[in-house]
Formats: sequence, C-alpha cells, structure tokens
Amino acid sequence: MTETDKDIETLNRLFGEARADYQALRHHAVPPPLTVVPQAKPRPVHRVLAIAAGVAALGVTGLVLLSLNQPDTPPGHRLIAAPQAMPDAPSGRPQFTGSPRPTLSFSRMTFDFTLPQRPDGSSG
Amino acid sequence: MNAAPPSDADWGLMARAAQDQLALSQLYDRHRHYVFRLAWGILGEDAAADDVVQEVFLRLHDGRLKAQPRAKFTTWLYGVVINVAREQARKRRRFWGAAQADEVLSTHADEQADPARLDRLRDLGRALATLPIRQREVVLLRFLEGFDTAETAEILGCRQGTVKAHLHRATRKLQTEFQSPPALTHKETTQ
Repeated sequence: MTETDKDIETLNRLFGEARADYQALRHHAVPPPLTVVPQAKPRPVHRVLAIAAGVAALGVTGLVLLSLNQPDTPPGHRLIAAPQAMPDAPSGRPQFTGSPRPTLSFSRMTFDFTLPQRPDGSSG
Repeated sequence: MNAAPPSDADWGLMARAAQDQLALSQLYDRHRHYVFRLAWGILGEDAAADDVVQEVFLRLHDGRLKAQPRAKFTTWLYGVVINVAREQARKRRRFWGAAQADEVLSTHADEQADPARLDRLRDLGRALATLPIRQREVVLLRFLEGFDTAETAEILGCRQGTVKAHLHRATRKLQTEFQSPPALTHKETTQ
C-alpha cells in the first residue's frame, strides 16, 4: 500500500460519508438561464493605438526625468569658460617681453630709541 | 472514478458551442452540477460558485479557450473550472469561513434533506476551509471527485509528486484537526 493509498484511506475514514454527500450536491434544481452576453472585444487597431500611446507616454516621461536630472554643463568644462561667453576678454596670452622688469628697493630701517624727557629734565 | 458523464460527444458539442446555442445548452445541462460543486468546494460560497458556472460556460461559448480534444473532456473542463475559480478567489480575496458554510447549504440544499447529511457537508466545508488552496484543490479532485493522481496532476498542471505531497500534508492536517467523527465535532461546536 502506497503512501497515497494510506492518505486516501485516512480521508475516507474521516470524511467517507461526507464524500457521498458532496457528490450528491447539485446546482439549482431549476437551472438559471445561461446569460450569454456577447462582449465587444477591442479591435486590433485600437489595441495597437493604445500600446503606441502607452509607449510614447513612457518615452516622454523618461526624457523629462532625464533632462531634470542632468547638470547644465558637463563637469569637466564647468571651470573653463568658453571664449564665446566672454567677448570682451583679450584673446591670446599676455606679452611681457617689452615691458620693464619691476625692481624692488630694500632700505634698512632705522629706529630712534631716544626717550622723551620728563618734566624734571631726566630721561630713562 | 469521477462521476461526470464520460462522453466523446462532449468534444463534438464543444466544437459547436461557439455558434450553436443548443450545443452550449446541452453542455451546460450535462456538466453544470460538476462545475458548480467543484467551484463550491474551492470558493465556499454559493454565489461565487454560481458566478464560476456562468463564467466557465461563457468561455466555452466565446471561443477563448483552447480545447485539446485528445484529453478527456472532464479533465480539460475541470482545469478550466480550477482556473476560473482561482480568478474568482483572487477577485474576492477571501475563501471559506464557517459563516459561508451555513449560508451555502441553506440556499442550495433541499429543505427536506436529511439534517445529518447537511451537518456532514458543513463539517466537510469547514475542514476544507482550514487547508491552503492548493491542498484544497488536491483533496477535492483526488479524494472527493475521485480522479487518480495522474489526472489530478494534469488538471492542476503540476507533477504527480506534487499532488502526492499536497495530499499527504492535507491529510495530516485534517487528521490532526478532525480526528473525531465530523458530525460529532459539529454537534460539539454548536452546543
């Protein structure tokens, strides 16, 4: 006897009578009318249009989200302004060759340590 | 064996059901009781089981179902019933309860029926209510409807080993909870 046979036997012992009652269970004595209402299926063209509209809506949403999350300029170019952005700025490198070289003069500073005289004429 | 009328003529009726209202009515008369009681066993409500009966025969009519004439008609039809009942269960999001068991039999049972019979059916309903839906389907098909393991597996679209495992778990659970005779259990609970 297999495990399944034992299970069936157990169920039969528990619900054997109820099984016969279940099998005697019937639908309504007077059958309710079978109401067959033809349902209008969506036409293929409408289905294709609906799918296309859905895909388009998803695409637009994705583009909007992408543009909102994107920085204005690429990070590598942010610190260097394009020449077009500064039309008044001189173009090219500054020329220093013709200008005189600036010279710095250092003179030793002197300090005067003479103390002012007191009213009684003494100092220190 | 399952008590549904075995007939090759069912496939012939099925082939004509989409256009021929009479063929559909004949199928309805032959199988509505079996469709109803299986749906009743899964859903536990007479109204829900009625809905399943309507939906199943509507699908037979509108040609949405892919028939497999090589299979036994009842095996194929019960697979349809199981699927529709599952959909119905998902919509309602509730299964058996003790309240429904009483309600079902008060509406569909013969008023002059043996009260002991109604008690036994109510107890069976309560027992089914304690099982997860897969185990309930296996108990319904394998034990109550009398399909063998291979047919049950074909109806449920699973392997035979799965059917055996579900049946074993369900039996152990029912044995634990309903060791005493069902009728006695019900009388004890009503006192």
